[in-house]
Amino acid sequence: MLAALRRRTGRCRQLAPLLGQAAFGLSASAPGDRDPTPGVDFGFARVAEDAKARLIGDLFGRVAPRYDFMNDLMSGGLHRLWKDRLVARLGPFPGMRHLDVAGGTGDVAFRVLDAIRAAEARRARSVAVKGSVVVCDLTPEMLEAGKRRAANRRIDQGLEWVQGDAEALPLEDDSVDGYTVAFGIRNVTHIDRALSEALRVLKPGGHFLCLEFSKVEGRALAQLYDAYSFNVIPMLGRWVAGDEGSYRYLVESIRRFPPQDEFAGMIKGAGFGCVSYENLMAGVVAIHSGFKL
Amino acid sequence: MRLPSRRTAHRLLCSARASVATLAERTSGNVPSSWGLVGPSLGSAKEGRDTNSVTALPQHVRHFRKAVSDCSVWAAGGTLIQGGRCPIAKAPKRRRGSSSLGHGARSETSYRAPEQAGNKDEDQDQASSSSGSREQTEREPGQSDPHQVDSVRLALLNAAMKHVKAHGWSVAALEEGARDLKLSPAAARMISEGPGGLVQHFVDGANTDSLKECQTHDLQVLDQRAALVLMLRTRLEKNIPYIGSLPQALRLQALPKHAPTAFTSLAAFVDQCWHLCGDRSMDMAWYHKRTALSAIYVATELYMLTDFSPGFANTWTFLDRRLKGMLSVPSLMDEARGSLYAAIVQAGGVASKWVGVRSSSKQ
Repeated sequence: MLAALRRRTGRCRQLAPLLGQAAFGLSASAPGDRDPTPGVDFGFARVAEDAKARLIGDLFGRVAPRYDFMNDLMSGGLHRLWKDRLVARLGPFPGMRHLDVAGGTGDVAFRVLDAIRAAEARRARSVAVKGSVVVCDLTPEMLEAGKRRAANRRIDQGLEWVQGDAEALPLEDDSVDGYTVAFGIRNVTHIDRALSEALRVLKPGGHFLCLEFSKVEGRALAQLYDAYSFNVIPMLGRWVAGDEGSYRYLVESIRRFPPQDEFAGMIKGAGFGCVSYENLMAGVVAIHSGFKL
Repeated sequence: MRLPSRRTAHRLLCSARASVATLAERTSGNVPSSWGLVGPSLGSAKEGRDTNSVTALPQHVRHFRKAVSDCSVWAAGGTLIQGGRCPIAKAPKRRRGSSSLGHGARSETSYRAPEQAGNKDEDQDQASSSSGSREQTEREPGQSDPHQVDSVRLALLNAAMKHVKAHGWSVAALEEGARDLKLSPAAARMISEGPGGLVQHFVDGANTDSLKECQTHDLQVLDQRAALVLMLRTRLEKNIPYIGSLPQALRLQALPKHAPTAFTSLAAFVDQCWHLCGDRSMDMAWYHKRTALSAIYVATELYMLTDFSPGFANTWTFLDRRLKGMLSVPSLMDEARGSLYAAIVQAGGVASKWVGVRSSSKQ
């Protein structure tokens, strides 16, 4: 255990050059303890509050070109199933206006749009306004990648690409029926602000869904998962994407993210009702769900 | 109608065998020996009744019977009736149930949506099981404002019921219901079971309402058959407005996902029917009665689907016939049991005579 901790703290130091001048008070802390160092978590490191968004932007700008390929590689294609499950829980309906936050490459957005179109085709009653999906992402590079994919899929209607921060969405109050954030909320500086922003833009009765890596249940599974994510993922990052630091951040930020119950409490605290969550693969990922009542 | 005071699984088995034997005797005059009955010396039912008492049997037979009865109660309690509504454990529960009925059954506002109860059950289930490696788990950790959530969910279900005729038991009906409440149709997903939850809501409401309506009548004045006809008919009449989509509802209820809830609510309804009839059985009869009445209810509901007679007249005669048949079973069984005991006594008589003859011939 101690050896593992030493290994992890060692890696935090490796992250330091990556963060460059923006990082300050970089302290090597184990994932369990929340030290009072000023700033916010950036993986296991601490960075200035206003620096995190820029760092995240830079990071995703770097990984954008190979983002989807890396997701397939790291999850063994399972992220597709997780996203399918997310959309199944959302249950898109005809005429739905949906917002997908931090969904730059459009993975979730395409699925939601397909489901909306399928529902519109199935329902005999035609709707006045066709459903649409707004994709919001902090990183322009990710949005560009998404737009390219949309063009490849010949989707020209129903998608809107918006560059914006999850903490200050460029959308009006009560304007969307559904809000999804897949593997994104972890990278937000202030999760509580992002949640209240979600509550603001959702219509009454709107559905908030969050797909995120979470805490694995069971010691044996957790150790196996740790071994995989701390060794294999950064290695894949180095070999395939040529960017080990970004993928190490990915793994560390997963460990920093609050476990299922705590996050459910945060969602409830933001004012959502009927909050529940569903673990997939024993908690490797969890889908949190809430409604604006 | 007189109901037997005590009946066990063993007795039931014997009675059934004896009734078959009696029937066979009446028709052909002899009984195959493979049935394990003392064929030639079977007495008539009338003779048997005189010796039909538990104390007349040897002690080991009584012990055996008790053991069988205990086993079957345990097995039935453990596997068939979920929630511990077996006669031994249920006495205080029943009292609580009847008092809540006395106050107008479960009121609409206090109705707890089944999906939430389900979540809570799962919560407890998870708390008790230490292994956390289940593929998919769903919980609802401590609610911030459960009343609001419940009331929204209830309002949503009630609003969706108005659209069932147009959209069937579907998510579309729930979405239209949400629109009626000025909510986003996305709120339809609050009903996590989807259309099955809507069906369950209808069934729960219909059960509660019909029992409430029946309580306005003086059920004690009616005989048991009339009271049961009244209750089942009142309940089945609630189906009439939705008769077009009733097959769909039954299909949804039969899905493995929804079947346990459907079974539980039917069992609870039938239990309350019997209770309101003044039935206070505490033995195996408790199970027989409930099983039989559930079967009749389900059969009549299915009959209703293809009944095109005016005012469902055929359904009501069908229901009456089935109840008549059910209520005549115990007296048939009494008769059959009587003949079995008579057979045993007669066999004993023959055997003792034979022994007597042999011993006297030896002398």
